[in-house]
Amino acid sequence: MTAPQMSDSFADAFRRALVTHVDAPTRVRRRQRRWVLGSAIAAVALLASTAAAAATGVLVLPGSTQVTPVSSFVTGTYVGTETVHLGPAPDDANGIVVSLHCLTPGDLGLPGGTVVTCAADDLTGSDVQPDFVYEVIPLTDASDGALIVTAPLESNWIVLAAYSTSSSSAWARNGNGESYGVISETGPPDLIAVRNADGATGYIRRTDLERAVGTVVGNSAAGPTDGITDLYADAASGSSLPLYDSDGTTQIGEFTHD
Amino acid sequence: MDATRIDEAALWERGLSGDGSAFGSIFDLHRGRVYRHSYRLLVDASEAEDATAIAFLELWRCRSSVRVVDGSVLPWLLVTATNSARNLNRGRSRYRALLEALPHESHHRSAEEEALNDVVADTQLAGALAQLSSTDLQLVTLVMIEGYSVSSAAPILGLSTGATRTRLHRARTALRRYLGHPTLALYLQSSLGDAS
Repeated sequence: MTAPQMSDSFADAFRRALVTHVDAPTRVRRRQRRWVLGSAIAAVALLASTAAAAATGVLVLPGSTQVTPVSSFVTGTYVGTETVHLGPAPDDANGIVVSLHCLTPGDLGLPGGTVVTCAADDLTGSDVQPDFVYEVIPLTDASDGALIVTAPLESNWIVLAAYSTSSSSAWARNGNGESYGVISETGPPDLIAVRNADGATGYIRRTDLERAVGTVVGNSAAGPTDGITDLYADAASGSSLPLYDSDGTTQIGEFTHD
Repeated sequence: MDATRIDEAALWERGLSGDGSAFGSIFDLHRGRVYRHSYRLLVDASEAEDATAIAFLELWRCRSSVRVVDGSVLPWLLVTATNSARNLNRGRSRYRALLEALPHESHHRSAEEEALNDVVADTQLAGALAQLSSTDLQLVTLVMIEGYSVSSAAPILGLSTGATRTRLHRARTALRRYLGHPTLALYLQSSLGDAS
């Protein structure tokens, strides 16, 4: 039979839009990732909504990526496009961890195409000291330790940058053989680490969450952490789920997503 | 076939690094299959176009964790298009500005298509597929309709091979019951048209 076809006009227009969309620089959504600054820096990627994002001190949860600075931080206030000099790289560095803070509205660009967008709204309000929003860039994007940050003329910004090393940990398994830890790029474990709105940290069962979501979370092509958490955050809103210890049987409370 | 796979693997590598033209070429490669699949679920040309577009936009957004099967992103696109079709409003809200700028033509079926539709009713198939659970629909899509092996489909759906076989058997039985058709595979293939 004659199979249905996408109309040529739609296909042509969408193809152009797709190419443009991909070619546009990546934009970092502020406040999506939370960091804990301590004696070591632990990046803990949990459910990326405000209520669920967990900061757990320097505790590194199974499955998370740990980024550790291996040099002292270079910091400074700059105006417009500038080069930040980090000096020679330590042998164990495999990246550069960078945090940018705007003092005036505008787009700050990092090597590799990442853009931090600062709207006027981001600069007002009570949250004077924003979360440590960071990006890890490869060493090759800053040859000889010269990190170029692009910014509009007369735009003011602060940088905090250091050489870093990143390592990922695997999910752990409890006595019942269930995996537990944070959602990673390979998807969610059996028990997903969360922090409740009241600060309690524990694990929710993936199957409970899928039932609450009632759709396709566990079945979707494993999207990125970002995609999975978006879906969870959208769909789990308002639902209340049992919060367990990592053994998956001891209930320690309820997890409610705002 | 090998040449196609190699080309696609190279395209995907370029696409991962943010090369828009590579994504354009991946769209050229798979738009037909993804659109037909979306149409099969939605039986509406404009909605199928949106679901297809969303799948390709998601391919970019989710690029860091897309599962590639035999050098191809097509299975991932099909699964994502299934989700897009079932959650069309959510996908549309994410890409509203981009989608609203695209032209939807008014689609008219030809007399030939109308006649064929009497033989292979799109709506009947869509109705049967709509009764499957999400996982079963993904399985039917990948294995029964698109011809991927159970072992290729299982990791995309986060299932073990054994569980996949069991579910597939149940899904096939359910679908046969919904369709009331004795030769299901033939029926599905006849609704696909040219599988290129």
